[in-house]
Order: sequence, then structure tokens, then C-alpha cells
Amino acid sequence: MYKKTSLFLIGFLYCYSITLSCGLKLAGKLLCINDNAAIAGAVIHVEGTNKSCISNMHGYFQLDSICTSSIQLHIDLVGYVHVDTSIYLTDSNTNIILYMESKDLHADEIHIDGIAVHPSELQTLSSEVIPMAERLDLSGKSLGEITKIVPGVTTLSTGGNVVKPVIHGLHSNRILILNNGVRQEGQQWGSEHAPEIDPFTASQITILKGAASLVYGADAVGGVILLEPNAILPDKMVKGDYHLIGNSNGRSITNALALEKGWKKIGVRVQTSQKRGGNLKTPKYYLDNTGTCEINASAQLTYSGNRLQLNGYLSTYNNKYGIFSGSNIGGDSTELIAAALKNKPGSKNEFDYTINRGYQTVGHTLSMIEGNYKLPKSEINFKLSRQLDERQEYDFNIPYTNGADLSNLPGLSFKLKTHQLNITYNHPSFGLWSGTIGFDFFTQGNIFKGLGYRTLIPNFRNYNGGIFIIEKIALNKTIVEMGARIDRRIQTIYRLNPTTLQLETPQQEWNNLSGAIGVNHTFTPRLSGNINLGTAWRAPNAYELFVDGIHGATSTYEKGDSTLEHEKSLQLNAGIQFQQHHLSFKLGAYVNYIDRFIYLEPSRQYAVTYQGVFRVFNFNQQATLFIGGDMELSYQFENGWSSSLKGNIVRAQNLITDLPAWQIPPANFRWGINKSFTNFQKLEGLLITLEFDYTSMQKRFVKNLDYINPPPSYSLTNVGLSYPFKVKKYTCNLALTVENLFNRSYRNYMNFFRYYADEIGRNISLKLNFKI
Amino acid sequence: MKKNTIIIFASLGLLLVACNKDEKVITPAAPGNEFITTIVIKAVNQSNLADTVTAIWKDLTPGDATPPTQTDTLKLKINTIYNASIFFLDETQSPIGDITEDILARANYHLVCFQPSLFTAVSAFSITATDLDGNTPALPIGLQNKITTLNADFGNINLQLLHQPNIKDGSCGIGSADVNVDFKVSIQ
Repeated sequence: MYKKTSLFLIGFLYCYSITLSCGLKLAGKLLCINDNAAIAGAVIHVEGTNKSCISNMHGYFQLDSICTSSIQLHIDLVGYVHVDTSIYLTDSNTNIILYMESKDLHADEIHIDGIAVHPSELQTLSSEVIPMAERLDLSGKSLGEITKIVPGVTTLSTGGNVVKPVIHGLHSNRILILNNGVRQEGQQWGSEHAPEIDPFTASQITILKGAASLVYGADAVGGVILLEPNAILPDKMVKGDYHLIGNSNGRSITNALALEKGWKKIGVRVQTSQKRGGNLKTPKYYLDNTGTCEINASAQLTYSGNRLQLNGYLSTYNNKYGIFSGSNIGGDSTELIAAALKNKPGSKNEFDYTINRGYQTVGHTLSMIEGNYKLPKSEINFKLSRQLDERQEYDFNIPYTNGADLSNLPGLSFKLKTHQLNITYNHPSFGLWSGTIGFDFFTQGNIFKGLGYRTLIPNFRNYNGGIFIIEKIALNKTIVEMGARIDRRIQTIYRLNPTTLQLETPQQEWNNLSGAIGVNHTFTPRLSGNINLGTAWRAPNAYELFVDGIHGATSTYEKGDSTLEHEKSLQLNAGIQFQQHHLSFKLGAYVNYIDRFIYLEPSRQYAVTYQGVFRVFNFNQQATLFIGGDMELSYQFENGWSSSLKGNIVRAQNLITDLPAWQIPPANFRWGINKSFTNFQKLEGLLITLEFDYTSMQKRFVKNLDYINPPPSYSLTNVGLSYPFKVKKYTCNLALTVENLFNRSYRNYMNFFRYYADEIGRNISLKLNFKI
Repeated sequence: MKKNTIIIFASLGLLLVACNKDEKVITPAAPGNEFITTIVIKAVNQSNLADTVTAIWKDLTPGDATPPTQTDTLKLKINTIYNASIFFLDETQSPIGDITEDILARANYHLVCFQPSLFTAVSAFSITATDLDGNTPALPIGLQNKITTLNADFGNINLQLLHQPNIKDGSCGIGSADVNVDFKVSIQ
């Protein structure tokens, strides 16, 4: 997909701008200077133009198609002091933080406010915002595919349907996903389990790169992904947003509808999306049984009083997808190597929508209620949520039985229930100091059922509690923040001893202290920098501790290690941002030392079973050092032409063996050229994009450790076109994209299916969006 | 209005806290499920029915990484023709479950294949299925076979029980393997 089109696609949007001729963009966050809470519903207006926009429920706003680099901004919201400030934009992508001061809260009864889900902590970490509502080119994609447009984010996949984000070389349980402010708790431990989230529910996705344990608790070792909807603002009309997406590869159709209505104090939103796709195709053959079917829905109800705001949210995610039949190699490694070298897998080579055996069903429901109560100089937030995550895995083979019909029962079934409570208090500021004190609690239980001889993951119950404090001082050009956190986790396992078959309930406990300190400094209006030193930690999960069995989807035998201890990370993240006239760049660098880093590693041993000889992968832990950097450089030429270059590199070394760590993403560079048509009358607003995406070969690997070597480097070409138009008074947008234009055959080191098949070939997508 | 709203949100909140602890009960494996623990090759010398040899491959903890419990060598004579029957058993049950019957009952979807082992393969040896299923045209099942031995040799033969629903065409390269084991063969 073309990655660097955001700046211009945004310009096509209906938003609130009328002329669409200029390419500068200003994005930012609006905070209350009294308590640092996000301010929603404020009107931000560019003086001397008809451009204005409204900040969303998390204080974010965006102004597009600004023509002049020097602008005067006016910000208004009832209950707040008017802001009048001049801003110098040098590039198409300027990000700022603005503060408003609140007046006496009792002064006006009709004051509109959003819910401050979380204050703007961790400002000293590099972050990036993807405005989903404005990125038609990204609509209908999975969370992993969407987030990889951000430098420093790559993907880990198992076939074409399971794609998950990797931040700074870390993934799965080391990336925390906050869906509507709630920690997403799914079956994320396995590499072949993608996050159970419908990105259509989010109008904005924020990516925090680096250790964020301080605010978000254990597991946020690599980073945090926040998915947030827009605030529901009062409007006379019902607002609607409809997407219809067709993909040539897999012949899939996606459609999504959201309707919302805001009254003075109440807001309601309902949303649904569906996807149906068939077998995906590589340039040379179809991937048998890779169909998918997905149905999602959500509902939101908000209340905005003078002091109290409430937000209730319900969502359900349901997915069924086939497991590529060519991956079911119940043999030994020689067969695997043969499969890897074979031009075509042994499976059927034809298109089909039917999802046959060898499939998984995943269901995730979330119910959440959050509230925010404003005191004269401070604010209390609370959030209570429940999640139920259910996964059923149906084996390729129907089980043999001596009577009872087991053909409709899943071979493996998991049920994970999580209850969470979060309370934060933004205390009154003392001079330049402001801060937040928080308390988090969550508990989860896992229930395993299986047809197999043994359990793959035992039942467990865990309790997690944490308290934190984060303080910030905002000086003239510098923001300094620091904080500390204490966590405690208790986990009880319920399992039958494999030999005595008696119930065992081993219990483990982890206590941890994390901290962070960071600085964000504006050197000149054009140059700013941030640096953050922080710690993060993660307890081994039940899968890493106890898994013992054949993993059908990847034909491996995975073995946990019950002696694993928690891992602890100490990391330094730094970034600089520069903007001058038409040129801008962002550079980020990090050093991440993870003590007792837990990883799954090929053992070169084999498990001999009646189903064949399987490769054994063991969980292991050793001190590992990650060093990496990411960059983004863009230049705006004359006449609507622009170009950008993005790249990321990560190196990871096992410090004990002094060998490269296993399965680390290779370097990736993306070069984009965009042309936007302005002053072309009928072509007004047309955007054409061209992108070259180069991924190098991972040359840092341990010889003879894995069963096959990493695949060679590859480069892909993607093109896109988008065009906004009006049907009566409705805003429409049409996009056509072609990924892998030249239908190149390649394999990706970060895909578990690289052993069995090529990546998917050319995909032509047609996307239509209607807004009423 | 305000009161109603609070009631709606409060009841939503109550829904969230309802919680039980089902994880303390460990669900037993579904009754009736059969595991293949044992594969038996029984070979009868065509010219001397009293000359019967049996080789057993057995793993009483099916599907885990512990090595198989028993891996016999199939001991055959040189230049001899045998009738070989294959049996699949579940010895985790009492009485012992016979999965061969299930395979016969769904013979149109199953094929037992013998192929050269990927490790040291036995070569002075050929094996062909002699039984047929109910497909049109009829295709081999592989539960009954004819073994022909040549000169003295030692090596492995790979036995696979393939599950080929609606795709069975007599060939071994398709479908998924319910069983995939190597038997040692000695020809003297």
C-alpha cells in the first residue's frame, strides 16, 4: 500500500475545508493548562480563511490544505479562555500541542466537553497519529497492515489473514493495544493470533514507540497502540459514514456503516462491518482454504454534563478463517525444506469461498463504562470493562471416535475472560507542575477445552494491580516528565499432573517497580527533540510457561518452560523533528536492553509422534540488546508534487550467546512520489501516488538454527489514485489502489508461512466512501 | 433525563462485574475421542502361512514429545512374498479401541501409503495395496498389502495414513496425514 499519501489524501476530505488546493497540514492536541486533560469540541479556526475544525474526544484536531506557512490560529470553547496564537508551518505535516485555560466551570450551562480518557502522558516518547477517518486508502485493512505505515512499525504474520504489528522489533504480548482506552486482552500469545479488533471502530490510531509501562502497566515493553473513536458532537442531523471495499485478491467484499446522533448532552453511535473473502492468490497459485468471514458491531452512548461525563461502549468481533491447507505438513523437517523449495504447495490450486476444515473461529466482546468527574481544579477518571475472548481451532482431520459424533467439536478451544478497573486522578497543578496518580486492576481467567490427549495451555486465573504517579513540568520550551509505578501480579495455574492425573494449582507472583524520565525540548520553531529513559517489564504468560503440543497452523511442536522468570527492559528512546519550508524530517533512535528476554527458538530437535516428526521450538530466555532507528524524510515540490522516504532498521543480539536474535524484522525502506491535482477544475482533488517498498534480506541469523534460511530481499511497487466528489450534498470519495503492481513472487521472513508458500500477488482494491 | 441516563450507565456497570471462576474446573477430553497409539504390521508368508511376523510402533502418550514406547523391526526373509495387514489401535482405552474399523467405514476418504523413508530407506523391497474402496473407479485403501522382498537389506519404510475427503485419487501426495511413522525393516 502506498504509505506516504496521508498528507494529501487528508486534503481531499470533506472535513471542514472548502478549497482543496494547498498541501500543508497542521495536526495537534488541545490540552487544558489547568489539569492537562484533553479538550474536546473546541473550534480551531485559521484566521483569514474558511478553514476550521473541532477537536475530538481526546483533544486531537487536524487542519488540512493550508496554503500559507504563517498562520494565525483562534481557538474557542465555551468555558475556556479564547486562544489567539501564531504558528509557522514549514512542512506539510506539523504537529503541535496547544493549551487552553478554563474559566469558571459554573459560568455556562451549555458547555460541551468530551471525556478525557487519559491525560497526555508520555509526551517525551515518540508517537504518531494515523487519522483513520481520513485515510480511505487504509480502510478495510487489518490493524497490522494499517500501523505499518508508521516508520519503526513492521508486521509479523501467519499467512495473509493473520497480521500483527511489530514495534521496534517487538510484538505480541510486548505491544499493548488500547481499544477505547481498554487494554485489549485476547489470545495474543501465539504468533498466529492477530488482535481481535475491527479498525473501523477507530477514527484515530495513535502509536507510542518505546517503553510505556509507566502509564499502561506490564506488557507495554515495545510500545502502545491506541484506537479511539471521535467524540459525538451535538448536531441536528444524523451523521452517517459508509464504506464499500472490494479486493481482487481473495475476491473479498467489505462493507462498514456507522451512524451517530448527538444531542445537547447525549450522544449515540452504532456501527457495523462485515467482510467475506475467498482463497488468496500468490502470483503462481491459489492458497487453498484461506477464506475469511468477519462480522463486527459496536454501540456507544455518551453523556456530557457540566462536571460529569459518561461513556458506555459495547462491541463484538467475530471472525472465521481457514488455515492454508498447504501448511499442514505432518512430516519431518526434510519435508518442510522440500515444501519451501517446491514451486507450488501440494494443496488444491483453485479459487473457492468455502472455508473447509483446518479453520479457526474467534469471538471477542467488550463492554465498557467510563466516567470523568471534574472538580474545581482537578479531575477523576474511572473505567470499568469486561472482555470475553473465545477461540476455537478445528483440526484438518475429523477426530476418530468410538461412537459419539465429535466432528463438530473444535480440537482446541480457549475462553479468556478479563475484568478491568482503572482510576486516575489529575491533581491540581502546583505552579508549573501538573500530574496524574493512577490505579489499575485487572483479573483474567482462561478455560481450555480440547479433544486431544493433553492440554495445550492450562486453565489459569491471574490478578494484576498497579499504582503509578507521573509528574510533568512545562517550562517555556521544555517539558520534563517523570514517574514511577509499582505492579503486582499473581497467577494460579489449574492443571492435571500429566503422570498422576491429580489436580495441581501452582501459584506464581511477580512484583515490579518501573520508572521513566523524559524531556521534550523545542530548540527553534523548526527543530525539536525528545528523549526518554524508561523501564518496562512483562511476566511470562501461561503459554510461554506451559505450552506443550503440536501447533497445527505452523506444523511445529512448541514447548514451554515453567522456570521462566519475568523479563525487564531498560530503554532509551530519542527523536528529533525538523521542518523548514518544503523539507521535513523525523529521526528516531533507540537502545533497548531486555534482561531475560523470552523467545521461541527452533531447537533442531524433533518430536516423534504418530502424526509425524515435528520440529520442536522451545521457549528460552536470555539477555538481548535491541538497537535501531527509524526515519521519515519528505519534500514538497512545486505544482502538487511531493516525495517521501521512510525507513527502519533494527539489530538484536543475544548477549549471552553473542549471536543474532531469531526472527527480527529486516531493514525496510519505502519511497513514495505523490502528485495532487489542484486548479484542474474537474480533476480538482485528484491524487495519484506511487510507492516503492524495499525489504532487505535478514542477513543476521544463526546458521543451521532455523530449518531454512531467511528469504532474499524484495521490492514491491504500489500505486494509488483517489478522487473526491459530491453527489447532491453528500461527500463521496473513491480510491483505487494496486498493491504488488508487477505481481512479484516473494517470501517474507516475518511470515510463518514462508516455509510453505509465497506471499500474495497483485491486489487491486476499489474503495468507496459516502458521508452524510 | 439525567436520572434515566445514570440508571442506564449504572446497569451497564453492573453487567460488567458479574464474574465466576470456571477455570477451577478442568474439562476432561470429550468422551469417545480415539487416539492412535499403536500401528501394527502383520505379515504372513504366502508360501508358509505358519510363518507370521509382526512389528509394532507404539506411543502410549500420543501427540507429545516423549519418544515412542515401542518401535519394532519388521523382520522378513529374502525373496519372499508376504500378505501384510495394517492395524491402528487406541491403547489408552480399555478394552483397546480398534480404529482400523473406523478407517474401513470411511475407506473412500482414507489411504494408507508406504513410501521410501526420508532417513535410510530400505530398497530391496516392494509393497502394493491389494484392497479396494467403494469409489468409482475403485481405489486402493492400503490396509491389505502384498510385500515382495529381494536380497538382504536393512532400512526404514515410511507409513502414512492419509485423510483425503473428496479428493482421494489413489495418489499419496494429497490430503493430511493422520499417521506418519517410520518402521524399521530387516530383510535376511
